Amino acid sequence: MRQRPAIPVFAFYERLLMRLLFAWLVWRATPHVLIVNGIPSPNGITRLFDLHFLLDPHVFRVADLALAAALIFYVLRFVVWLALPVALFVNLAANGIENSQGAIQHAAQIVSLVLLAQTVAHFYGLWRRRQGEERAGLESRAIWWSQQTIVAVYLLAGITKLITTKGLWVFQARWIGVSITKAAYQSFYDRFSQADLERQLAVANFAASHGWLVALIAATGLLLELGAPLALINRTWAALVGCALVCFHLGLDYSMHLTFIYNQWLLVIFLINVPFWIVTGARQITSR
Amino acid sequence: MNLKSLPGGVLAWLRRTRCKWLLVMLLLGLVLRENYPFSHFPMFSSFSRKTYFIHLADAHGTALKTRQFGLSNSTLKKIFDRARRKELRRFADAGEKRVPLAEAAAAQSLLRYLDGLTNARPAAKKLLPGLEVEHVRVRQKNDAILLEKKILAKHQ
Repeated sequence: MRQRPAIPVFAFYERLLMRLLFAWLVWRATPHVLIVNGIPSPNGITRLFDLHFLLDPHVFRVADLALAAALIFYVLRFVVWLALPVALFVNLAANGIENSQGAIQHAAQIVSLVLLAQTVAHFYGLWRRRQGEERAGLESRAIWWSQQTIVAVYLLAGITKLITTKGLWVFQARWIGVSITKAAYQSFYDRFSQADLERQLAVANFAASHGWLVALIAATGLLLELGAPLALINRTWAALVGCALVCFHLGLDYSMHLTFIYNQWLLVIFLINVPFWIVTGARQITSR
Repeated sequence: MNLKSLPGGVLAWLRRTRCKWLLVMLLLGLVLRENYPFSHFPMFSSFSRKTYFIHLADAHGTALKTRQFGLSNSTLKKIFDRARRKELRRFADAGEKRVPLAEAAAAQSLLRYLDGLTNARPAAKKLLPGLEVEHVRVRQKNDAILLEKKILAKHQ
């Protein structure tokens, strides 16, 4: 039987494009201005460190510039041992402060977790290199751990649904119309789009009157979350699960205006991995 | 199946698996729960026949975009929710009046938060006098969605 390598190997062009896109995503997922009222409800990193100094706009500007420099170095693979911790600290600190206002947001969390995974993977890789591991494995491990992090987020969301509802989530889903209505109005009061509100309320009313059909659709979504680890089997599975999860997000976006845009981008970058399929397809064609 | 060999088997699998980081992330998420960047991702982890949202309106009762205050409507509700939970504990002995008292106090607390938030946003600060916190209850009765609105607090 063929033994699978401990870490999948990624080609240079894949690693470069992933670095470039991920750096851009980290930049997008980090607040560049803090519109906050102090740190009234410390959460996560703000419980561990006093980050009040970052509330000074001048200090925060320096942190923002440090993030920009760190991300450029990360893309160029120059002093990565410094670039990754700096980027991680600024990203965690800025998002940590925003999440310490008494409201936890789940939009940027997945990006921070992937950044954390890459940082830990890098230092673990350096340690492994001292034990004699090949240099090439360093970045491939960071990508492999990024994939595992993305999968863990979906699996965790599925497990939490089962724990919270004692396994009855699918049956409760027939009341999803109530949640869609709430999300529709919340979205409306953000942007005042009457057309979006009407479309979402139509979905909510449909859900309220077709409870069991909605439960069936919800069951598919839950299975998708619980089945996310299949993405770690190989590249084909990664692309299939990635595409399915992106479709799942597009459905949520249409019905509830929940875009989870960073999730979608991470799925595209690390699981679907379009450049690999383009190169593989091109090689197949030219070899005929 | 020999159950005695199960722990050893699990340990052997843990040593062998390529997905140790996945297990670490799962464990951290479940144990640390809501501690940025960790989370157990509880969004839409349960549904109920009723819920609510809140929004802001000016002194004349005209709805305002929450973004004008620099935060999303969902964040506004979460800040209110947190204050509401705290006030519910404070009014634990208030009997039937517990929920209305807690919600009114939480709405006042939200207005105070907005006061601080708008210090650096003059345009939003102008909207504060008479600003209302409105509560809309959403519930499902049979196959219909019903909404009930009430004003919780008004900025002085």
